[in-house]
Amino acid sequence: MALTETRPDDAPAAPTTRGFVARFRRERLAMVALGYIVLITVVSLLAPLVSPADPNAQDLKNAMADPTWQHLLGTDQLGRDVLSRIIHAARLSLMAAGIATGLGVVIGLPFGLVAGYLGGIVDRVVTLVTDALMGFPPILLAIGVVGALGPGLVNAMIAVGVVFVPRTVRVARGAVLAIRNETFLEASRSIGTPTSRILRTHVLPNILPPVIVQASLMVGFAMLAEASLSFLGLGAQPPQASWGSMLGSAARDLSRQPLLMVWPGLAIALTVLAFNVLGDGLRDSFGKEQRR
Amino acid sequence: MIWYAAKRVALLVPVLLVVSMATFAMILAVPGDPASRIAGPNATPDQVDRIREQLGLDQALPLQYLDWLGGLLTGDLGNSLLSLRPVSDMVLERLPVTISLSVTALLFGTVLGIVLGAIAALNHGKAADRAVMLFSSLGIATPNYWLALLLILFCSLKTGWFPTSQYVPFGESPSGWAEHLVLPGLALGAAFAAETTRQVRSAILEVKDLPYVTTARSQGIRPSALVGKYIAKNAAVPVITVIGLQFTRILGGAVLIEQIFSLPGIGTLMVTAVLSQDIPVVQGVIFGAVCVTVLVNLLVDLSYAAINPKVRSQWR
Repeated sequence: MALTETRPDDAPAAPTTRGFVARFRRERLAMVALGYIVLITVVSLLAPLVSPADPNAQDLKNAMADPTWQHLLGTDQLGRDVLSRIIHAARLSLMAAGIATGLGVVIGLPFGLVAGYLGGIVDRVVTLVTDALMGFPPILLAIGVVGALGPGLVNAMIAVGVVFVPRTVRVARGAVLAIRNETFLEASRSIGTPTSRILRTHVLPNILPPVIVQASLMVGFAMLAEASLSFLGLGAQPPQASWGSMLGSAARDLSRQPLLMVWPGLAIALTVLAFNVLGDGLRDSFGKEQRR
Repeated sequence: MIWYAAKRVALLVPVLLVVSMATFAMILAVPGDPASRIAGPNATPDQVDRIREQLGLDQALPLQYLDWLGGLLTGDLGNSLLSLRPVSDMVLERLPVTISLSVTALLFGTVLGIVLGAIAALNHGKAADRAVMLFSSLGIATPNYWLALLLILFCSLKTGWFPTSQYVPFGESPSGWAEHLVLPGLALGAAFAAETTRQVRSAILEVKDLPYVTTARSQGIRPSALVGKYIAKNAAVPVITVIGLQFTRILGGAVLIEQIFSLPGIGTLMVTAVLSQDIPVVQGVIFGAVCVTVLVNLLVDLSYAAINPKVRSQWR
């Protein structure tokens, strides 16, 4: 039955990839942000190769030194090379943000999809729980989850992921509601396509753009959240280092070597900024497509 | 209006019930046996039993929940596992600190946000607009605790303008109270100011060129009156919403800011409790924070209805 595979004529022009890429390329700032994100991702993956020194090599006699040619960003409390530590910590920070966001999307997306499409009592319950979870201040919820699970990087990632679940549900559900009464879905229903298949092949591809935009904005927040938790000592535990935990230990020696606090903070701010700009750029490029 | 308010409040009951369940469920997330984990590795079986009993963990789950919920309704949040004091007392005595800090941040963020947003919108596309937007992007991406450290470094350690930490109760010395809140308020309010700036800017841009504004302008109304009377009123609605939404972030951010400036507020209580796995305190703080958030959102919704009669009529 080839008929079931063909798309009825009034199906929304499924997001054309080429149009999107062309538009996204015109978003100068977003392209710069993307370039930066790719760069730090590659650098963090190649950390052992590109970092100038061993991030854990101590040199106590040379602790908290100012920048020199040998140590471009100076050394920390134990005389370790700060630049190398920043590069190695990038891996942990990016990974934590990525995994937390992924967790939120993987759990939240199905709920939003099903609640929006089925409506009725399922929708009511999902919406109620979502509303309740959205009432928790994000950072407090994450700290509370870590409080229950115990401090540690993995638990911090789970905690931040939990924060994202209701947000993904909301975005996905809203996007489904916008298309659920479209003719192409009705056509598919009327020829008896099973609901699970409709959701997978027709609904999901059409709601992905807003979910992707939301996800890219969440990565920025996840990074801030992980850094906050690690800063408080609830996330990455020594000898692991993330930008947040580096900032946390630098805060204790603020009066002796203020430069120590500058670098990880700058790294966090720039990277979060890049993810936010990327998200804005994606939204604008997708946005024109959606306004059909 | 009263009818509208009553309906809005009635809608809160199921939400708060789910919130209470989620908060209660935190104890279930403690891996392994919560009682022995909380008691620590050196506890005798006796001590573990006592903690189990104190947490009510020896009862069936629904009973435990109802017990806990009953306590909540009477304002009893349980006792701290460490100090054995009632959690509600611990929260209440620290509340003034967190409220002082949050309100300072809120005030600072709102004023700065409205001023900068208006400047940007009224100079749309010019250098001033771009400068403000750059500041706002930076403000959103900068971790508030990093900003706090920078402020301590430049406005306190290097110059001695402001004290670095500690809290002075208002009753003890109003000027000391204010002085100790400037830097934390700035650090906490900056991201909020940045967000408000964006919202104010786009809200003004939205209404600035509507026909009724053009009409008013063509009638020769003074620019200041035009902005104050005609534009501000209509631009206010989305801005109020955002201020309400941002309030939750301020509460969350307060945790870190209090920690950095050693302010004895709810946030420091929370962090200490989390590090020592004092679950009743964690639950109490979180539930309290959600209640405040829900209340703020309710006020935002009601102010919506007060400003815009169309919203009220939808609920009749």
